[in-house]
Amino acid sequence: MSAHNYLEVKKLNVSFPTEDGLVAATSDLTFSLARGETLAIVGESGSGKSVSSLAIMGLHNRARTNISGEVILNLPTGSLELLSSSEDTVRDLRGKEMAMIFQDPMSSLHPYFSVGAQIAEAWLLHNKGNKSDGLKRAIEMLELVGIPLPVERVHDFPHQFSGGMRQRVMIAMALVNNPSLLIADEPTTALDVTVQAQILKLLRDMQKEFNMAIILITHDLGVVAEFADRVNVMYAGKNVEEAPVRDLYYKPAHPYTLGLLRSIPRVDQIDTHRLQTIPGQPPSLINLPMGCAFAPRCPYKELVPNNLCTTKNPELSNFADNHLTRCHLTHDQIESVR
Amino acid sequence: MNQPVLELKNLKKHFISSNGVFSRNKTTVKAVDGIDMTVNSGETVGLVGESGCGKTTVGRTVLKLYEPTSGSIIFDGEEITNFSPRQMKPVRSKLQMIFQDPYSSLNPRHTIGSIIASSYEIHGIHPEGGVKKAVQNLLDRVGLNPEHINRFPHEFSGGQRQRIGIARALALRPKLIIADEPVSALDVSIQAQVVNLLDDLQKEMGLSYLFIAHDLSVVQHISDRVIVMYLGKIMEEAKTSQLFLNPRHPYTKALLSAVPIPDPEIERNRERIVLSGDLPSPANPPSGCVFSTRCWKATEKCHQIAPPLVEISIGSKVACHFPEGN
Ligand SMILES: Nc1ncnc2c1ncn2[C@@H]1O[C@H](COP(=O)(O)OP(=O)(O)OP(=O)(O)O)[C@@H](O)[C@H]1O
Ligand SMILES: Nc1ncnc2c1ncn2[C@@H]1O[C@H](COP(=O)(O)OP(=O)(O)OP(=O)(O)O)[C@@H](O)[C@H]1O
Ligand code: SF4
Ligand code: SF4
Ligand SMILES: [Mg+2]
Ligand SMILES: [Mg+2]
Repeated sequence: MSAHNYLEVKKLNVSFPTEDGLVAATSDLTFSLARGETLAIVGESGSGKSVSSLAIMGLHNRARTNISGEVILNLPTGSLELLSSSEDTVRDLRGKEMAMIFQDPMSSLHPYFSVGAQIAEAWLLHNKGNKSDGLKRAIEMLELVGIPLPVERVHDFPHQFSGGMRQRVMIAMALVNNPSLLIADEPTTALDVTVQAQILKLLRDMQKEFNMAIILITHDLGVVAEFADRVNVMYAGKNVEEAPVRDLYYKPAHPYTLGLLRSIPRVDQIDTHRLQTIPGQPPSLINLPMGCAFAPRCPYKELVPNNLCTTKNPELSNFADNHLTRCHLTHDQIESVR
Repeated sequence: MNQPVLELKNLKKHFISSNGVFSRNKTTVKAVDGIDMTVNSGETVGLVGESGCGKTTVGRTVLKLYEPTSGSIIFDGEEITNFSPRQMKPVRSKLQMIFQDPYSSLNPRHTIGSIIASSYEIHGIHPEGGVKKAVQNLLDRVGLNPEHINRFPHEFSGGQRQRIGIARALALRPKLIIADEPVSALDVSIQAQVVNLLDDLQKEMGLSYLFIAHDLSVVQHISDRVIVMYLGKIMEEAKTSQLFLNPRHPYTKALLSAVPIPDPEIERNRERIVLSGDLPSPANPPSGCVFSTRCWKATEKCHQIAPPLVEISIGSKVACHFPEGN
């Protein structure tokens, strides 16, 4: 355990028992994060990004979800493993020490309470004060995230806000107690690019001021390029590549990452060609196939001898300094197909 | 080919809200404040703009999910502005919307199979080969596993739910789809698949799209024309390549300069226009030009007189006293 690691996730597995069988949403997820650092998680839709985050935050229904592995927070008072801690302990940390911006703002805002009341409640849960202090704090936060006329709009209900404004309300709520760890699940997808830039700046300023560790889940590889220190790429429940941001864009190592980077449309390069895609579909997470989960779609599996790709699961291994990948190709093979 | 499938004339949607039931303080939010727009048959029109500028409201008003405050809506040659819900029913099979918030638009107690199948049932349509086969076919086309037909919405990820919404909108083979942020929750490779699918369907069936999105690179890729809104009004309208290469409205220019580029070196060394000033509220819009509180070129004239949307070159309109470029 290195001292600078604030959050350590080790071999996290999350699965859901369903009628059809066990859905393995997250398998063998391992990463760590220091305070003040931003780790972006990108990857296939349905690859387990949200499910893993909810597991870190202790938000899965423990009775209906199988979770194993370790989630360790290194707090000033000592290390704490969250998966084996009581629900009360985790609840006390949530909202104060660690907070989350949810992907789906409407389902995490209560329709019958004003947005102000909801932000105030999040604050009052961890601070001493009365209702009007809470409301004052709510107005401050709404202003911070750029809601016009916050004094008036604090009394409005979620349905009276546009999609992007709701997302900003969620951000205000998550940041109200200056958390040390923020998991932001698609925090800017509903925002136009000017407001997005403003919100990213706000997150960066808060990160500097409170030395916040940020996990940023996003599909926007432009935002990742701008904002992340390191990137974690997920596919079918596993992290298949982890690298410093520049290495990921300029020296990608995993065939899935290569495909992802080739599919991006760009505004700075006018083109009307058909977009490149990765042919095929992600595997069902029930009864994952033997071998590499990307094999059915991988154009390079023939390069690996003895059908290893379809028989043996590749381990996460070093590709270069601080650069991990989960693939049977050799270093030279990767360089030649890139 | 150039037949309009949708025409909006001076369309307005104002929301009147009071703070609390007993309050007399009524405010009027001018969410959509007099817009003219045409979508031609087989065409894709991109609709972009500030969060909260009224894009979703345009879509919901066209579907008559909101009663328009004034103006007119002409769909497929028929004025539907004052249609009753009963009159709207046959229109809805030709006019579909993909909703911005995929979760709250899917009934959590129904399986995705029955959610998509209900489109056929409501409109009494019997697809070839039966409903189940049609539904599975649609799921496959949007990149979802056809075997998941009996699962419930909460068992899907954000991007998977978004594709359920897309499959539902495509089921009836409508003439116009209003797609409100249809690909925002998808990773770029599935996004590319869906964008290609929308392209293919357009070629196959002459579909039209009003494509609302914040991701300007996707808008650029998919749209024939782009309309830029700000605070309930149209600021600029132009052919896609024209708008991206030569933006005329200062807001468009600022918007384009803020698009993050997926390349760390370029992105971190890029010049961009940072807008200063507070976002105005649609309940209390600025006098004169609505963008004047944040425009770096604003003069006294701008604060006094609202610039009309005028055609400055063929197919290109801008609402600004001092447009950029040439
Ligand atoms: N309660 C559940 N029961 C069964 N399967 C589930 C449940 N919740 C999630 N899943 C499945 O687990 C997988 C991972 O879901 P998750 O929401 O983490 O994806 P994601 O990576 O966040 O995707 P997106 O980018 O689309 O949001 C998905 O395939 C989803 O269908
Ligand atoms: N039902 C409603 N009652 C009152 N005000 C509303 C209602 N729906 C929307 N508004 C207001 O109308 C304005 C436009 O909202 P709309 O949802 O159309 O924006 P949008 O352009 O779709 O934004 P976004 O990109 O954030 O989704 C916002 O100020 C919003 O608060
Ligand atoms: S392990 Fe084989 S199938 Fe998997 S990504 Fe590498 S080359 Fe492709
Ligand atoms: S009219 Fe004036 S304030 Fe408005 S966009 Fe043009 S220059 Fe700026
Ligand atoms: Mg998700
Ligand atoms: Mg909207």
